[in-house]
Amino acid sequence: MIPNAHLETAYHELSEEEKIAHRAELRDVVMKPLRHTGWLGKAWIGFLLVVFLIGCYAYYLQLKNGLKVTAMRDYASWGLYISNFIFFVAISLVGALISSVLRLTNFDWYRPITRIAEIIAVSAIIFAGLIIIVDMGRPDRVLNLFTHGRIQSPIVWDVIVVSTYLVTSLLFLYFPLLPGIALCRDYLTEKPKWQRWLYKVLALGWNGSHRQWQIMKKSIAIICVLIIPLAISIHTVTAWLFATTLRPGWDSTNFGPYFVAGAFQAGTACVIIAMFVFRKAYNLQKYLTEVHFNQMGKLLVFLCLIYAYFNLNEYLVPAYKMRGAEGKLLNDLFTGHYAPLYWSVQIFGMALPALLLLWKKARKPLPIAIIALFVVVAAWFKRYLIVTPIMLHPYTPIQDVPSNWAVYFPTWIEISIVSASLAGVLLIITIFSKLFPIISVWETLENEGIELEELDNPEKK
Amino acid sequence: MKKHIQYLLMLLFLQCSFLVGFAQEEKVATMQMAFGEVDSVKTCTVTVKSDSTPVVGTEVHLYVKSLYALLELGKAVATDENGEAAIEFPSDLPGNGEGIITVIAKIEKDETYGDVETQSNVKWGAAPKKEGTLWNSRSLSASREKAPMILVVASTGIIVLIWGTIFYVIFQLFKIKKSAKLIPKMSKGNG
Repeated sequence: MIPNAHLETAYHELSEEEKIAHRAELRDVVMKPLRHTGWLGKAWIGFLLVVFLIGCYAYYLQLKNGLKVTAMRDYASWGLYISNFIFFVAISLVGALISSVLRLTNFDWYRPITRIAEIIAVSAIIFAGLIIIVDMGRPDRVLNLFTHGRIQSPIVWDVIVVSTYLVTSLLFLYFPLLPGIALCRDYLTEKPKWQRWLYKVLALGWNGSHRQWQIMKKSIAIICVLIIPLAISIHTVTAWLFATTLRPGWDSTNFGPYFVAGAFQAGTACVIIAMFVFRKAYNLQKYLTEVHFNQMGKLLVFLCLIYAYFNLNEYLVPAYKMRGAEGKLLNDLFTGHYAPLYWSVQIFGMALPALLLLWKKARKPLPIAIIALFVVVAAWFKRYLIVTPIMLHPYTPIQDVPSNWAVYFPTWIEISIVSASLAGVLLIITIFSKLFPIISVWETLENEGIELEELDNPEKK
Repeated sequence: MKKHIQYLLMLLFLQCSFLVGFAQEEKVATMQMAFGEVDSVKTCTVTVKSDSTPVVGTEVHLYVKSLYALLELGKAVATDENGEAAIEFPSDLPGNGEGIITVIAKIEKDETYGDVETQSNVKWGAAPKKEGTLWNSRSLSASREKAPMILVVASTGIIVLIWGTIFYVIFQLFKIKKSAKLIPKMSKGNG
């Protein structure tokens, strides 16, 4: 990838008036979805709400009757909830990758998609925190983690790093959004009172002065640096929750980077799908161009190959030895009960996408969105495979227990709650995109060589 | 009919008489434990008496109390003509924090005396080694108050550094808000 190779546009030669007109055009495009929601949009929000409410009812039943309503027992004590937790943590890393890594490495093409990546990160990390509470038998004791937690425990590290990452991601979303909120405050005057009040409060009196631009850009630069180690920490610590537990399949020094690599891959695929949907639904073809899909496709190939490398380390090295309980687990994955799922995940979620996306035609919006969908679905099932088969293959054999303890298949309550969490993530993203511009106007214009700061403060030049 | 009832009553009487007679045969025995060293060997001597008379030839089992069950010490020993059973006591049994062991002597299902039991404490246990163990010292497996100092210092340092930066960034939001009051609005919707 060559930074900004596609951006040799003539915007640099535009006159002041043309730049202002170009800005107005972009502003109108991004404001349009905020002014009106079509029947399809309403139906989508309604559908997500129904799924979410069913999950809430299922959680009420779980609270009332206890964790016995799940399929989790003594052996499979981590099931669908924890698989889903790792998935959410994984996709939340994309905010750091797109907005921070690409920014610090002087790529500029990513700018129109930063906000999509950041809202995916925020919504995913919110539900990662919530799903952990759902997995607790006594959620009323969650505060004990803070008041009685031992700093020696990886669970406490995870609580600390998840909450820190959530706050940092919110700030990373909020700072670049300030000019966008001001835009809503100034232009969406027909909106209900509560919404106008929300814009007014959140805009912090933004007026586009030098001072404000200066503070905002400095803050973004600080968060950019801060969020990379945090993002790597959050998923490394999540990996350590497993790797510090003595179980075949988890007892691995490879787990931290293996998780981080998988997270970047799954998150990038999520952003591609979101780009495709927003492009179609909000008519953003001019700003989410084929160039962006092409670049994201190349990035996904790169990340699939890195993930494949870690998979080779994770599975082939122990498979060479086939030692004891680990051998039984690997046999179950390669040729046994979990083989269809395992090979589907590896082939459709990693090998084929990496191969197909080598062709430029596959990096066009529709094909890449379909491929990305496969990657995301496979990524979810990959997390299930990381948790469940291993729980059912402990070092000490499962003996003298009820037969249903030796198997795990989630109950409708678990499936409903997990579906609700997925719907919740989508609901946050959808509602956000209906309240605020999903494309950052100032960053997109900067990408095209138009500095809004200069445009609004001509004396700076 | 009356005859049958008479026979039945007689049979019942005979059975009751037999049972009462049998029960009367079980005698009460008492046990006393004494601890001493014989030729530098720790020995527990159990004296069994019934009506102040030594009980001879009755098997005595010796146990020590452990966390969940009783641990039998060797095989049962029969009492001698003095009603005494001497049982060798191992020297490497762990005791509680002060080295105390609870010893239990039992006569089990004896035809004459049934089940008899007595127990006593003796300070013959090896006190748990405190030196070299992680218990009560700073370690990864200790309580939260006894976390390894390096972990406490490193984690606190990282948390303060990261959250310090976060609070600094949050403070910038207040500066943005404050600057809005100082500087007049530049343009509408600069988004």
